[in-house]
Amino acid sequence: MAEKLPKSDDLKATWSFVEPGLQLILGSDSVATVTPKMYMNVYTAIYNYCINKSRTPTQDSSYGSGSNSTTNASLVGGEIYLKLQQYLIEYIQQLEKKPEESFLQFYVRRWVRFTIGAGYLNNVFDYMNRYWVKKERSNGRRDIYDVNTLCLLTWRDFMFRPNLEILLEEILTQVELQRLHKIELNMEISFAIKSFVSLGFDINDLKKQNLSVYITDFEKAYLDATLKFYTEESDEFLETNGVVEYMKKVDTRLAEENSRANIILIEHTKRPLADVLNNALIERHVEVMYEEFNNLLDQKQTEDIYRMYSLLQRVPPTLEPLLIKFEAYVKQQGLKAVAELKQSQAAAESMGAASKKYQALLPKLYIKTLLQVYERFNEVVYMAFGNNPLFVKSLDNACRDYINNNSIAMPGIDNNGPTVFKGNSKTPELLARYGDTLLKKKAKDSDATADMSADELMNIFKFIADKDAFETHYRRLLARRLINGNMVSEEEEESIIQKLKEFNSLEYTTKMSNMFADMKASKDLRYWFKEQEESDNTDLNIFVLSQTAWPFPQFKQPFTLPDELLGTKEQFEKLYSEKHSGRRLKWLWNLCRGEMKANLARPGKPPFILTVNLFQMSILLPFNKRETYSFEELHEITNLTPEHLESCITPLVKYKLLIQSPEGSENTGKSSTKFTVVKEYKSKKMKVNFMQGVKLDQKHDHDDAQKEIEDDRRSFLQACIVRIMKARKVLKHSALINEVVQQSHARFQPSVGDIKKAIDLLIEKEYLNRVDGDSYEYLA
Amino acid sequence: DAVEAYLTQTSMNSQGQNFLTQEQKGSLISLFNKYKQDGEDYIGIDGTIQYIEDLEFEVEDPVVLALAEFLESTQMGVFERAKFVNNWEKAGISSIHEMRQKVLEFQRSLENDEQFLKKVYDFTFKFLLDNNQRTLLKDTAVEYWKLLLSHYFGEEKMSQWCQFINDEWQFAITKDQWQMLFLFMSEWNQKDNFIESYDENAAWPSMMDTFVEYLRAKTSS
Repeated sequence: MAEKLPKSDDLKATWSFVEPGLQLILGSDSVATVTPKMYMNVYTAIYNYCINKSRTPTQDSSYGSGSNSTTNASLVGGEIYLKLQQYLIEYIQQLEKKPEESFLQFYVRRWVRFTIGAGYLNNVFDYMNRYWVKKERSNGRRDIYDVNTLCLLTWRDFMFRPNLEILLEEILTQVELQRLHKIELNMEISFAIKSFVSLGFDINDLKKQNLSVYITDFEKAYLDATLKFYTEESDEFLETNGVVEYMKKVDTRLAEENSRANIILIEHTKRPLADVLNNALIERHVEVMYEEFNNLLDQKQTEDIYRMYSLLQRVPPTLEPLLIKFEAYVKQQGLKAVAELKQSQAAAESMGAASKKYQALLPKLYIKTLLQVYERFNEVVYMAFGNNPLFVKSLDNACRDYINNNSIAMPGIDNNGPTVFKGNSKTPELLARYGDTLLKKKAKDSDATADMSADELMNIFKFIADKDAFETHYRRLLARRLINGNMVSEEEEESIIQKLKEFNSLEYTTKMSNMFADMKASKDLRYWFKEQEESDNTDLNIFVLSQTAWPFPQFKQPFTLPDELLGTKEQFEKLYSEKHSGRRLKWLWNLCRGEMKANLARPGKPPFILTVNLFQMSILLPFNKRETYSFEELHEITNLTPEHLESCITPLVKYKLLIQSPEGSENTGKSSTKFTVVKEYKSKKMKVNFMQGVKLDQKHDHDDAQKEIEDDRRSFLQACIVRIMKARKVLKHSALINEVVQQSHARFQPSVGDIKKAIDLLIEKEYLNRVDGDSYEYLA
Repeated sequence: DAVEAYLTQTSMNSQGQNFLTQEQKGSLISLFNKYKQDGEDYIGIDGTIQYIEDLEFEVEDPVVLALAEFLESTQMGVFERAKFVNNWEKAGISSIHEMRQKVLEFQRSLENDEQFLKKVYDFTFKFLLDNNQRTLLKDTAVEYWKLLLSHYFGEEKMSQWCQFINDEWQFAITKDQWQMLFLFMSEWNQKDNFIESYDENAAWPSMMDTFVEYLRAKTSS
């Protein structure tokens, strides 16, 4: 290289001076390298040329012509720009691939060097860039570029474009080989792909990134190849390995593609690449996955279910069928579990097991069965579906379905084929009885309720559709526990009521709270009465209960209270009416019971304590006077109906307190049959309970409860409609139905038919009037 | 007499125009007097029978209900003087012959004027009720449904309805049910597939739901 700088006004000399340096800067195969001195010389030569020419008037040149020439007079660079442009084309065209390297290797090797060189070249031509190029561009010349851009554009047009096909092919081949795990991921492709990004320009703003080359020339081909590769691979893999292995494979593949994308692709491709992968690997195979879903649930393969869920979650619409399948599966499992319980109950009964015992066990077994299914799938929702709200909702729907409608809740309906359950569900009642079992004091077998809890009760409660039916049954059983004094713990009772209140409403537990209040008031009343009482031959344990809160119907059967008790009763009535004038007491004789001392023990032994109901007491008291009475005589004394008398007397005979003559249960109710009290009662226990043997009319009780529920619903619906119509004055039929359904939701699910019947009745009562065919108006 | 004179007078003045001449009015009133019950101011059951016979109609003819509606009768076999005289007078009719022409006109209307039929039908419910009664015994209802609606809506549909009432319905008929039945029949008459496409969620009284369910069960078995 010449040591002496060329004359600053001699273009030819200047170019000859700088050209060898340019070659070194851009990269050549020679061993010579760029030295700082040489770099400085080239820079200075170009600087001098531009400066010098700028001072003297411009000679005409191929650039800088036209209208710009006069205004451009002081800036020079056109000729040297042209020289450079020509030089770059020649430089790129003479680059040659080494025989041992692939085109891709050659391209990357040269590209990497070229882009570094282009950067330096840009600096070398700094003066030209800053003045001449800038001026030309600001004058609207869009085909003049800074030197770096000029380098890249020349590369694009003379290296990249002519070789695009082979370049792309080699890149995609490399990617495929990587996917087949035949070669490692290497940086070559990454550089090659990044060149697509660098070669995109925004002609108007060179600083702005433009991905047009990357997108049109590379991305599309890459995505197509990806789709093709995974379409083929997934079809084949599924065929040979099955869904479970396939899903694991997809997991791995997605991870691989993700890390590959991070290294070789740019952010822009992530979304379309994910779409392509989702389509090839997931959407195309959802049906097979759906088919496998039930098997996985059957086999409790939570991990695989989670895998399926996380794959499908990548394409949210594909979750919808899974939700439907899940809901159906849970429902079916619920129905199946209940059907099995029903079958085993029936089998046990046919084996001769005492049906009564099974009846008593049923509420617990039934609720446990319902819970097991719920708990099993609640865990699936947690473990496999990450508590996704959509799956939580599906589980809720399914549970609400099988918990309310199943073969035990609605018996008499065949469980074969598509089942349509009709009528009122027994679940609320069975849940109430579960609560009763939990909360009632147990005589023996105290472990029986060890695995029951208030939480279990609440877990099922939240799915109960007819909350009103549960309240009615629960309250009726609570009433019995309260007056029979066989609660396990008052705190537990109150905590459940508190929970019910929180779950539903204050109104929901009003009646039950009132019952507790009555209990407390009765207790105070008893102390007060004891203080007032003059004689105390009887120990009176009285409850005063308000009729509206308690589920006990009035006692209307004939009965004569024994003289022994009459005094106490009258005294209480007198004192009570003095204390609370205006209140009326009605006696529920059927709920009364008592303990009697019976001096029937062997001499020297303490007397027996007999627990009896009031009617039995009135039967037994006369035996203080005489040893023998006929059925007819007892009937006259007690005034009980023959059927009632018979059912009360049966346990007394059965447990050998009274001797019947003639014997045999068929004779018990005959008017001439005689009953004689034993002289000496034989029992190991000192306390004997005769109440258990009295047949309770449970069916009647159940019907009562059902009637109460239905009456309450009817009046609720009517009140609800009136309330709505009073506010709205005129309302369309469908809008009214919707509002009523909404307002009833927390209590029960009314059918449109029920609501229409209530509307019919209100029209008949002239609260409502039909207008315009399908609307109603409120008549004040 | 004085009462008659008063009635004649006020009727004419209040209307502000004369429907009948004095002479015609006189013959209308004597026509009323001919049928009226002794010692009462209305035509009773015997008079009604005679009157309908003179009009040359059967007592069982549905047109008698149209006549009752026209004369604002409140109860079977009773035509009050004021209603009888005023309504005929407003129509400008005073002779038994003109009355027969009017009734013949009612008869045609019952056959081809649904609005007229509906008016007579709605009137009939109240007309059939005894004092203080709010609902109609179902046997009575069936009898009058057949009488009034069979011809217009077709023998087959009405007998299906009446059979349903006889076999399945255990309650008396309310005014709403009575009135809505007419609209139900009318739609059934006009729409093909009315029963098939019937929507239980619509505003029909639940009685109609029960009927449609009954019909569907019958056709499917």
